[in-house]
Amino acid sequence: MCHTIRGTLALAIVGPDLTHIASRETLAAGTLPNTRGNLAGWILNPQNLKPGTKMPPTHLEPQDLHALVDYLETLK
Amino acid sequence: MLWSTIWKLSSRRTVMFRNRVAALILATLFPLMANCSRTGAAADAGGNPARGKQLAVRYGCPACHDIPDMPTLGRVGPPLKNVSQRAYLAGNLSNTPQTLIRWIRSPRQFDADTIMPDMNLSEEDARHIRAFLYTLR
Repeated sequence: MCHTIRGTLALAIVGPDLTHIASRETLAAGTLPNTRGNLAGWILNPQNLKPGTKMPPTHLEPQDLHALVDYLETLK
Repeated sequence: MLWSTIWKLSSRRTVMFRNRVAALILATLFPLMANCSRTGAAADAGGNPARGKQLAVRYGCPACHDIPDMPTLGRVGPPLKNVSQRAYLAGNLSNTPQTLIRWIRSPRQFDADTIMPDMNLSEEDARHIRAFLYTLR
């Protein structure tokens, strides 16, 4: 675990707090507009979008990615 | 005198008629020839490529796709250079202007298992993005 989402068991502080991620204008320290496509691309392969970021690539099955993005978009 | 007048008039008419026929043939063939010189996919364009580029960044196309002249190098999906010249999209979709619009708007309607998310684009936004994609060489 790297992120905090308040109200859940995720309380890590390695990466940014995602409790209100859906309310943010940008992702990855201001480098990307916070839209579904950018969010998905960031989760799958952040290194290509912000070389040097500590977040590793995540291999997800398509249905899992869509469910995860659906969930993150509810975090307003 | 009478015959020569009739002959001149008729030949003039014949020339005019020939010119009209030639113009008609050209008018019919030219759009077809113009279409042939491009790919079938790019023929029916519409949309504003500059606006489409802005929208592509906004929606996040370059987060997954390698697109010329974009700041990020997407390596999740296929590169989009020359996408207008591909015969098929997403492995098995015939690459027509209409399919590209529909694919951009809701890829999961075509393929429930695609990793590409539905991004809830309007038809208009998808049209601009398609116009931008058709400029990529």
